[in-house]
Amino acid sequence: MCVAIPMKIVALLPACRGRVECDGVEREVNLRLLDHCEVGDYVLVHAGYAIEKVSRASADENLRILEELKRSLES
Amino acid sequence: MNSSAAFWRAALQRAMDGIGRPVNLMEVCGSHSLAVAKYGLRALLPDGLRLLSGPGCPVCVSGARFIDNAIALSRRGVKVAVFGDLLRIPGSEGTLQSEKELLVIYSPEEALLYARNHPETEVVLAAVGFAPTLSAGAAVLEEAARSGVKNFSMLTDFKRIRPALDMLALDPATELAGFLLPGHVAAVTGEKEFVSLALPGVISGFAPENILHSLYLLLLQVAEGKNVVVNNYHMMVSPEGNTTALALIERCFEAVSGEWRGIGMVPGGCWKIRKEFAVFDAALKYQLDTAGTVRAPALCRCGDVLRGHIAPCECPLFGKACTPEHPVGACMVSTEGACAASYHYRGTEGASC
Repeated sequence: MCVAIPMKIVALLPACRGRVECDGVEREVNLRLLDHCEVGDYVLVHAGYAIEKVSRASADENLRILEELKRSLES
Repeated sequence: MNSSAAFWRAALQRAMDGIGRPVNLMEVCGSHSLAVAKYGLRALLPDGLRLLSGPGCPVCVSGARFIDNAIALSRRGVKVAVFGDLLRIPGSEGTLQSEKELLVIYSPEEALLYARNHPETEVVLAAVGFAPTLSAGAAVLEEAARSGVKNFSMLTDFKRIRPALDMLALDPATELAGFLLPGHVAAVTGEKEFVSLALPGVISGFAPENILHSLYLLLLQVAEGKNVVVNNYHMMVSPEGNTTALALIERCFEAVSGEWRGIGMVPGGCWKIRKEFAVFDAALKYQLDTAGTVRAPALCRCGDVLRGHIAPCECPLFGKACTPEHPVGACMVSTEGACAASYHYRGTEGASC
């Protein structure tokens, strides 16, 4: 029920809709809850709606912090 | 994640050594319940550290009255559109499963589409959920108003998790020290929804390592006597959240006090359709009674599970009279319910209790 999946926008469709893809599975979603999106953006999909954009830069930042923490704990 | 598991076990142990007393933490998201059980994460927790499952599954806290009303509508010949998870949730006298006038949906907009394609049929979208589903519900409501559809309305039992956390934080029975906060709810609401909690909080994603890292960050706060909200899911969660979705929710719904199954009255814990959209409010359209408590089945301890007072396996019905095939309480129905998650992964070390 609270399941949400990050998917990549592969096409923008009329009426605030888009085609998204994850692991070879494509589906059509409603993009009305997002301000602006483009093909190639990653979005979090829940119940047929994209509910937020995924920030790739922040994901990398998260990973960097985690690696730093692990190094500091291991030393 | 074997080397990683050993690493986190040691890190959590070291943090607990520094604290020097037992610590109870609580997760409040169905997807966290499921991930914790699936990956057996409780087996990695040092002695003295307990991770309780709270009321994070929206299906589990939906009111029995809501189910009763959906059944009543279906018997009046109204087509009731519901998420599959809701079909086997007990109302006061039965479930939706055996009703005829049902449309099982994945997305709430399917209900509106059905209404438009069947103008002769009265359609009610019966929906529950936290912020992510609420934002989808708000989008449907505004679209219904824009299109002027006459045969569509919504019976909703949307919940707001924050006020429930404020209640749970003060519950002397659990002696909580902090919350693992729900990442997908926070993607919509932003970090700001969780500031000034009475206890430390860490917003977490759902990968096993991310959950363990978040628990570690919670322990650091406990050790240092801090009490802030830390975002450990930057990929999805920003300080302000999805402002477009939040503005839409604000236009369509207002926060009101209401009943949570197993927990009772939560001040500001429910969402009501605003009067500007009254023609789409099924409770008004069909004059339904939405107030009042429905008693839980005898011996079912879902309420104690949802408040973290007991672990699922401490309920006398767990795995005996109550299984996913024959659920007694709501927590055993949804796959993300604390009881169902524990039961499904009961062979995994650390899945439950």
